Amino acid sequence: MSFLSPEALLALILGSLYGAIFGAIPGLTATLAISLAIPVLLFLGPQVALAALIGITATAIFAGDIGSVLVRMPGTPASAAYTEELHEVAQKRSPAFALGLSALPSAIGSLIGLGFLVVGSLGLVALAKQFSSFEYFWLVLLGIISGVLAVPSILKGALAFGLGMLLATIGYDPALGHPRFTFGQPNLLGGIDFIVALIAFFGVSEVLHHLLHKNRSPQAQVEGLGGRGIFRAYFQEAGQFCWKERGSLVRSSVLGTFVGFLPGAGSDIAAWISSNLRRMRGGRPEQVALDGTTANNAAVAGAWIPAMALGLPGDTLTAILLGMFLALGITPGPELFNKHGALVIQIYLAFFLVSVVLMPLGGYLSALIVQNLLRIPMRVLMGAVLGLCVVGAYAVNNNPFDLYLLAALGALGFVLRQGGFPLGLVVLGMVLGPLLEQHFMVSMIKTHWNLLSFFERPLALLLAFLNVAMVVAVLGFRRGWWAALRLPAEERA
Amino acid sequence: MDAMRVWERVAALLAVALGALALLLSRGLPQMEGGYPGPALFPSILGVVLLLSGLGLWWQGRRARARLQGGEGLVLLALLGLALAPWLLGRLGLSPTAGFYAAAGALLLGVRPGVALLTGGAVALLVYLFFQRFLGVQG
Repeated sequence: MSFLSPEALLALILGSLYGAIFGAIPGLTATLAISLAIPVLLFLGPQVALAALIGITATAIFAGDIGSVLVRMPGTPASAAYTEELHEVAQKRSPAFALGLSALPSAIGSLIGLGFLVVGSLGLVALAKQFSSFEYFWLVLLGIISGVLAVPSILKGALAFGLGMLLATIGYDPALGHPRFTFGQPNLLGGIDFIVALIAFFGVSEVLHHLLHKNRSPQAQVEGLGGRGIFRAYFQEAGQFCWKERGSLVRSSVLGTFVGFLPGAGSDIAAWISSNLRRMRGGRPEQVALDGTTANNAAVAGAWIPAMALGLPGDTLTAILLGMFLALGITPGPELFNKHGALVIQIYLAFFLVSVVLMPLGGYLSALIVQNLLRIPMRVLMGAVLGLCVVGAYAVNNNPFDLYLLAALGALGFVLRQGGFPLGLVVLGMVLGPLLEQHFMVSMIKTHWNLLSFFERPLALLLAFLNVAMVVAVLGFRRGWWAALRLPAEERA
Repeated sequence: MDAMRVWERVAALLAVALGALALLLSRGLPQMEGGYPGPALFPSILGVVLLLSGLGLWWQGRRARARLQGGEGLVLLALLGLALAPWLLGRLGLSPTAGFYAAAGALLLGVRPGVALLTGGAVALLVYLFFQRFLGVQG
């Protein structure tokens, strides 16, 4: 069966739609979408199954932005990196423009990522093979430093990040496998589920915020969402902005692809690094959102590079994908290129179709859906969000204990939000904290606690230098940068 | 701004308390062979970070005025209600529980009772059809 068969094309379209729905609803992730789809896909041929998988992964990450635009809740962790900015753009200009700002750079990022996937993968993979735990430690640290130093109050940033990282230490530790901070509760042995935390921090705290400000909460803007208005804002205005920011698009795409292809990294980290770098340069909300959304979609294609060429997962999604390959009787790695050349070409083609056709079109359709959803009063929508938060948190593991966590973390998120703490940094702490600890402990165990080993390898030394350079540069210019970050977004624009 | 200061202080106190707890509990964690720090290392560092940033934040805003703006009782009520979710789930099942929270949330937010009930019903139906029937989520 060829990829251009009706079955495969239908699978690509349905997969994209399915991925977009999962990505847009907070609490339903791309990982969950693929996990639920795999039992069905296994009964289909490789071409059809892979077409559906590509559709799901590519659109789910992009669709995470729809929740950010609509209710300031990221549908996926990757969108959390720039939710504040994207929502601000939606409020300030129009939801259609914000969605265009999400869809068009996503498509471009995905296309550039595909370019790397096709032609540039071998060189990058060769570089990734040089990475050990030492280099990863520095790379993760770079992500952390860029996150903490990018916020106006470094104390608030450190506190938010520290809380996130502390939450991530609950459960088995990566060095000895000893349980930490579980208080004898078996449900905490596996740690706090990241998705539950995400729903609590962004979903429950949002509802509580509206509850506190119920007489002062502004209704979402619906002006300018008529048929022509949407088209103009979505394609024309956002397209013009993308053209103006073409340099950023290319830079973020390259960065996103690079971060995506590194094993263990992925869309989330790519989005964080890219958007934080823009924030630190005093970027306006539009620019921060553009850089973040470009990078996270480029990272999707980037994650496929080591998965296809080396059989190494770039992120959770590609880890599931590798399992799918094996279940279909295909061994990923060089053998894939030797024995299944046609399939490789079909994978490239599927990525191309998703990027060029489905992502912009799906985004436009989602803009139309958003138009209707915005007619629902925000109070009603927030009530529904609370009900869906409960279901989303429970559905992740089918575990009622997660609902206690939802309430506790929702309270924490609410306090932090009201106090002006960057909630995204709590999430960053939960994502990067365990990676930092793992790579540090592995490096230390390997070298019997010789700290100098972090500076002995040339690549590690280079990354260490980059960390120091970033700290020095940020602290050196902090007066100007922090002043810029403290300014309200309207003034920055 | 006054209200933000209150929450800033609450967060700072929370960080100090959690930092101290992390330091205290880390002492009971095992060490690695040769006496090297093991699972306690990162929580201890985080404990210090939280303690210092919490204290620093408290010190920074010690002279600023802080006052609640009202409405916090509703938030507390909502949180207490949310903590009852596992109990409700066991008695009502997943979709009625979701519908209940959607309706209760809408009511607390000031939506008219009829519209709130409609919201709850719509969410319950959506959860039943999509999550339970289509996705097979148990509950």
